Amino acid sequence: MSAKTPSHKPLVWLPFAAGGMFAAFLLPVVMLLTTGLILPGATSYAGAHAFASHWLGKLVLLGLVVLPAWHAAHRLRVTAFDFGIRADTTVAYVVYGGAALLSFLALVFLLQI
Amino acid sequence: MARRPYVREVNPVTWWVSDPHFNRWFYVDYMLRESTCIAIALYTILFVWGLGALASGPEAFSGFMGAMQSTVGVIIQLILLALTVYHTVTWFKLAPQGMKPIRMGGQKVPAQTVVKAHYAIWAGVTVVTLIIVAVLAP
Repeated sequence: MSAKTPSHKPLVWLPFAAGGMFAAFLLPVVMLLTTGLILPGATSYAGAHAFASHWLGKLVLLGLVVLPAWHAAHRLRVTAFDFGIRADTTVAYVVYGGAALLSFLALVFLLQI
Repeated sequence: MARRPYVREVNPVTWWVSDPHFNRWFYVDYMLRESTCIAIALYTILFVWGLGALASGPEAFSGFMGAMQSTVGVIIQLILLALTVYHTVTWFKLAPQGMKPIRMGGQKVPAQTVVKAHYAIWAGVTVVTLIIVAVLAP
């Protein structure tokens, strides 16, 4: 491959890596918050609604869905192969389709708030 | 490539359970790490469900959060949390191998320093998130 040939890989790997970052750094504290074991005010309707009403809050919540969903989808595809599922094309449609559906639903729900 | 490459026969489903060439837990550990993506996927589904409840109104949302914060809900989330933390920790461990060596003052930054920096950022992100949440929703 010539050095000048554009590759689609950065477009795929950037959100994958960003999703890995989000999952590694941010998801543990978010999970802890939704259990209600600490700062239960964060999961009250008033608290959550106020956060999701601001455009910046919407952006954070959307990022918390889109990036980990894309990240998990790609890893699920590879993991399915490791567990002996060889129908890679079907698996790819299911996992990427699932991630796209979750992202779309999150966007629709957030725009309703 | 050799004309007849040696292909070792392995069971495509159970190959990781015991591998004669590595210690017993090498691939079991690998598969455990791979499987943590299931926890991330499941939690993302719960999260989108919660966003739907939040968009539906106070009743739907308190119903959703009631289920999330019931004993069963908390146990499930703690299991998902443990798997996600395992993903975090193992990812930090391999981070120095995945990036180009960082140089500071002509010296290569040791791998252990890179790992420690990741833990510091993780702690920072967690504390800052908790502070922001505490300020917004006391």
